[in-house]
Amino acid sequence: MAGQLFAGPIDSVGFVDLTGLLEREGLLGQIPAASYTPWTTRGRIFGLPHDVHPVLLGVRMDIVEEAGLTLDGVETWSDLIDALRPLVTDADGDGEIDRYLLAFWPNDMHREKIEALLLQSGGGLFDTNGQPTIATETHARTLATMVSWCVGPDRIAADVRDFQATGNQLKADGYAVAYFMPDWMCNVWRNELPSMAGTLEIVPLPAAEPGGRRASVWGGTMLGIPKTAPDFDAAWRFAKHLYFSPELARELYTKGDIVTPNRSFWDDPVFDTPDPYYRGQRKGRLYIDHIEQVPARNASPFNQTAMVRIANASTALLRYAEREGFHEPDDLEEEAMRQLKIAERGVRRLMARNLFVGEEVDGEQPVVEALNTTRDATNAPEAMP
Amino acid sequence: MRLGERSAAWVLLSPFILTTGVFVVYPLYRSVTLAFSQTFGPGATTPAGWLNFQLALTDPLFWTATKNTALFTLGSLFIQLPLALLLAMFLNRPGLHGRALYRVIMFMPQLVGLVFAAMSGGVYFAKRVGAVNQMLHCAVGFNLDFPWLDAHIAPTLILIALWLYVGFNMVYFLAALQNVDRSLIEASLVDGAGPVQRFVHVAIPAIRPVLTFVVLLSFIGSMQLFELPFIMLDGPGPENRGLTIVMYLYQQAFETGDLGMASAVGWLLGLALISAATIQMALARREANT
Repeated sequence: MAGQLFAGPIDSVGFVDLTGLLEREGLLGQIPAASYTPWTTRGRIFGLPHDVHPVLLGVRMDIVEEAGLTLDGVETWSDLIDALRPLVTDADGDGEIDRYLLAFWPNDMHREKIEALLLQSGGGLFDTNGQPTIATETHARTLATMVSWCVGPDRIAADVRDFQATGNQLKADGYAVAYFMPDWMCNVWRNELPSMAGTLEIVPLPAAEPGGRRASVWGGTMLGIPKTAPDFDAAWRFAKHLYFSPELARELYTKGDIVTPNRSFWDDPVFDTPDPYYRGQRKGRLYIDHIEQVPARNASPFNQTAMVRIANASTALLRYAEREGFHEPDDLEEEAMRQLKIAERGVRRLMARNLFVGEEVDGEQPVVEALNTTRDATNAPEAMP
Repeated sequence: MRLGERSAAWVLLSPFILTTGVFVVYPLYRSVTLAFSQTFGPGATTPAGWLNFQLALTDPLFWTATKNTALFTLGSLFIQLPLALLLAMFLNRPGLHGRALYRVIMFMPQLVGLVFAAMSGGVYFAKRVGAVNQMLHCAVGFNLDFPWLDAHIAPTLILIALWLYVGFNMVYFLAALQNVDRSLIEASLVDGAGPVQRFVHVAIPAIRPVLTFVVLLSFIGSMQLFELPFIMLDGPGPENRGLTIVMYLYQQAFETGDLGMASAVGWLLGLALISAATIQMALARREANT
């Protein structure tokens, strides 16, 4: 997120404010609101989004099928755990579990997985006014649930890191069955683990509760035009060519597995092409079908700080659960809230120093509020089961 | 002095004055002014008095960083340096064959550099498939999921730094030991001194200048720890267990964009280093005089 670029007064942001231009050229509606919000501050948009990055779930279907199991009827995280729990086994009889269901760990350096789960359950780090919304019941419940996956005799999650040789070895060994898969991660698997071709299948992210959101979000890129650009018109034309040309949108998917945020290209047959790496699945279509469920993220200069503090809260909760022997979300919720309050206090303390983020832009309609109506309209459930 | 000579003096001095002014005096002046300002982003600055210092000293994260850095420094000073001295004494034994080879082997980790050490540390100390847990598991049934990089970051950092720097410090000690006056050792032998007495009363006083220098270098380097945890943990690590003072400074400057706070932290660290170095030099001088 470009939050730190937005730390100063709105006039000192180094990129051209594209809000008016996007509205005038009718481009706002072509791209989902969730793609704009990370590049928006105080109602002004400073970047053209490159992607949406819906997060779905990658499942080692070869392992699932070999065990005679199925994902039919799986809708929620509870359903997934019930369906695949037989896979959590000590295959070699050495007293250690050799396989877990989910690659997730509270202190993973990629904190975006935690953020993805918080967003999926209807939470978010900041409200549209930039105020932190960290210590909420939704977050406490979600944090308690995710930590409960990692402790006790019924533990289902394992520490399998992305982008690391050790993590890739565990993936190849089948140490975890399910993985968080933003669209770009499909490309990471393809490049880093070519031997795993034909083993993974992408499925919708299990919802927190029946009827809940089946996707989340992880990552994002924007194209901003610096105020110092000598020829803004040429830069804008080039930006539109890069992000609004069908050829490049196609290439973005074929070479990077990334789905364009531009709605007008979503009917392109390239997204229906079977992908041999993913068991011949038409995964592009699956990602597109879930784009409208991608939650919006409100940009803040303190986003990264907030995420670090939440990750610390989740690690502290994990230690608490291990120490006290609490393994159920209900037993962990109170401590989760306490840790989240500590996290929020830390963020508010830093924010109190910032004289600029609370300012309003005179005479301008904060576009971000309009954009966020999408998020409100797709009301996600309050908490995980 | 004639005018021509005066001009020549200024011309000859100008490269020094210019480079010192641009690269030392001005950055120092800017960092002092920044330390007393509140900044958000490159363009917004307001005077802040002592607020940055006050905020840093009351921020629990700053003290977490200080605690982690102090732990690492203690590990460097009280584990790494004694071990380096022991290795140097081993290599300094008369009649030892292959001294040069041992010296190269001990020094070799230094050649691969900090980034390599940090990246490979992340692999070696990983849970389940990391080489350290795997070897210990095979040898003594050690827990494969032992969280070196989660709950035990300080010992892990000390171990990696030990591997990296013990040979480097050993070379200093060895050079110093090899220059100890033979007549002093022979005199102590005639007086009936044993190995421990020779070490304490002959070798240590003789290598004291080098010892003081290595301790000071190690102290300053440890207090400035940044790259090793930053690369290995991709940040401060779980629960900020790998957060160091310089990483805290980096976070303030480049993640939060608060250059004022970062400068204040930089000055706090600088003052701590200067104070510690001054005390250490004074103690060393007093010891040398007694």
